[in-house]
Amino acid sequence: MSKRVLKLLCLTIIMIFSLAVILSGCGSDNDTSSSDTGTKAASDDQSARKVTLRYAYNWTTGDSKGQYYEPALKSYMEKNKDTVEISLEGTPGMEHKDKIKVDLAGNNLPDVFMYWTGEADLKPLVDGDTILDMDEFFSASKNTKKEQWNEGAFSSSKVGGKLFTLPVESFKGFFLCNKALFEKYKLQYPKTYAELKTVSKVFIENGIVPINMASKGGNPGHLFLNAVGYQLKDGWKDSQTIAQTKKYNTESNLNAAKIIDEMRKEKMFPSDTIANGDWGPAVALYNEQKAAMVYCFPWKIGDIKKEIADVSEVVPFPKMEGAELSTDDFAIGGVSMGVLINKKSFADASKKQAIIDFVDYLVSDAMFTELGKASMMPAKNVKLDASQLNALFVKAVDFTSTQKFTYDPTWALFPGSDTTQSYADALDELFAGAITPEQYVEKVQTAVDSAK
Amino acid sequence: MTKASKSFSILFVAPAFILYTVLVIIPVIFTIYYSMTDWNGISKPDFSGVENYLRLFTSSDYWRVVGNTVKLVILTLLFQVPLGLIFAYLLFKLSWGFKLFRTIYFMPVIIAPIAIGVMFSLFYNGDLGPLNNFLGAVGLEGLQRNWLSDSKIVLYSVIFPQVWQYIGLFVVIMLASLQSIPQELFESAEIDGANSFRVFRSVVIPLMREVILICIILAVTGSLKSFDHAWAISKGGPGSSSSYIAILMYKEAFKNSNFGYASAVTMTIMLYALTFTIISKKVGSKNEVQY
Repeated sequence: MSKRVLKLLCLTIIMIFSLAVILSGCGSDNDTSSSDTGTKAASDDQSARKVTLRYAYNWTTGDSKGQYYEPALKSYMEKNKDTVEISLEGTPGMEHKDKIKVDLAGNNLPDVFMYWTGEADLKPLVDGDTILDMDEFFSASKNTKKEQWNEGAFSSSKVGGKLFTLPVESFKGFFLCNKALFEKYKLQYPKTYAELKTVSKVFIENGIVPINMASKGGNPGHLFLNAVGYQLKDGWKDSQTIAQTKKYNTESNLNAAKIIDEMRKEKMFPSDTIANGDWGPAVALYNEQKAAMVYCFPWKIGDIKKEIADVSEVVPFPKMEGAELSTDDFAIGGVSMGVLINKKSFADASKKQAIIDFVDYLVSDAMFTELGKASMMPAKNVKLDASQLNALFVKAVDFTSTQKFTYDPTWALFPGSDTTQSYADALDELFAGAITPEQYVEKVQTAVDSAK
Repeated sequence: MTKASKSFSILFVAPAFILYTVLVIIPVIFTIYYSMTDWNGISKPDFSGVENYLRLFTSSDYWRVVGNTVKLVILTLLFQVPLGLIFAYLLFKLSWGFKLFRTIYFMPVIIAPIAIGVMFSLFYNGDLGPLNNFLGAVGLEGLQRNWLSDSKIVLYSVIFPQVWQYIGLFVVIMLASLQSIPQELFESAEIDGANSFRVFRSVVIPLMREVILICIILAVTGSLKSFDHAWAISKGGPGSSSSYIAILMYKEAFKNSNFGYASAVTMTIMLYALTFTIISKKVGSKNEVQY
């Protein structure tokens, strides 16, 4: 064989090997998480071997909880580095949901992951037999028990009566008023819709947006809509039973939409509800004192400047005309996120104990204490030291603890996840004035009718 | 070609061919299959034949987003490619600052589209953004708008940054083509009394025909799969006022968990892009000019 031919052959072999390495890197390393339970009878040696777990979550960059959560995770990883290697997969915001869906489609679900609660989000995972019934976890764990939560915390974590997530983050909405602006214009905090209209006129005349509220991708507008709508006759009942009745075009929902439309026409919201919508800008105008009021949630407290928080008062949500429920008695809220376990991973004897220990840590009092510093309302019964917490968060918790009932947002109660996008799109259009309240209700009803 | 050299040719082509097959051809085949199933991404796909396509072509939402995408394509062809050509010619004629201006034109291209989208979403904010503030400051309050909430104009608000961002890409491509035209042709035209415009029309454009065609194909196929700017600025809203086909695909797959239907949407993007490319190549291959 000539030298030239030999050189070409060597080059070709190198290229083929390189290609083989690239392609092997593209392959799924899911074998460890999609075990076929052949290793059920684990030996003592197996438990001593280092295990790799994948944990996916969204409290990372851009989320105020990330600055406490990630160091806490890394602290656990450091302490247990001899027995377990945890691969962290942090994806911010709602993109985390997309990431989990892609993982599901690729049969590559992480071993443990955070996810949203509510039947609409959980049912597909349950139907696909991908996530663990948490009663199995409670039986296996020595440290984490069901009694550490109130029974009510589990309501949106159940599908078909079985529990599939460990609730972590709960939330309640609360209405904030900028005391300095109200005093400047000699106004009283509005207790009713009529008073809200009156104070709004004064603010508008002085170039201030009355309420920092908008809708992009349905956020945060859907929560405000519920705070209005649930006060009305059958408002809460219609949402509570929507999965069974499949009726959205009810009088209460139409009336709530009409109130939102009227508020928009009265210029109570920013003029550009898309630009000011979604969670990013949710308190931006309020922070700059360009809005006097905001319907706020715990995860936005960290974004409110200290000087604004110092002059913020938590007040009851104004009472709508014809209201049958008082906002003194209820808050929009629930459990937003929980920890889920990959069923196949839990069945893998080599991983089981590591998963139990790690999840015990994720829902431990110590973890909740850290997250409390980021103003997260814990879903579990845990005492937090108020001196360590954000002062506005303490005000919000003190206020909302006086409200007897917490009602889930409609978003979490729809029959399927394929309804929520249409609901979000229709909400954006309602807040922007692109559709009438009647068209809004019909659009959502059409989406509910086509839900699988 | 000898047998040995044929074998080596195949060996050298093989890695690229394998990569292309694995990363492009096979996913397309799978997408065609998924487009004929009812699949939520979790359970097993349930074969449904052409049901997704029937639903797609009878959906008013789909035709609305197709209309939005067509508007994007038209505006891209009206502005991006012609402005790219004009700026490239102007750069070509520059006697100084050539490299500086080329860099300035190309800089937006290297910025991530999501970053451009987020930047413009702040510009467009009717209450806090600089655009309306600027219009007010210069006495043009009448032009102030709710750039993202007004469903009549939001699409154009979203199209503008995308068209602007990629003009530089076509400037660079066309500039490279201009620089490959023999200088003697320009000198001959000038000797014959042609002015700059005449040289541009009669020498530059005919000789750059192939490159212009490729730029048109790139612009159109790029527009057909647009997602980033619209998603970052308005999430395709309000409703679907500023949605493109790719945004519909994304919402169906990742928000509604309808992976089968989303795959069908994807297939239509591929179909439109392929059809346009084939027709363009057929039309463009006629009447080639050589001097």
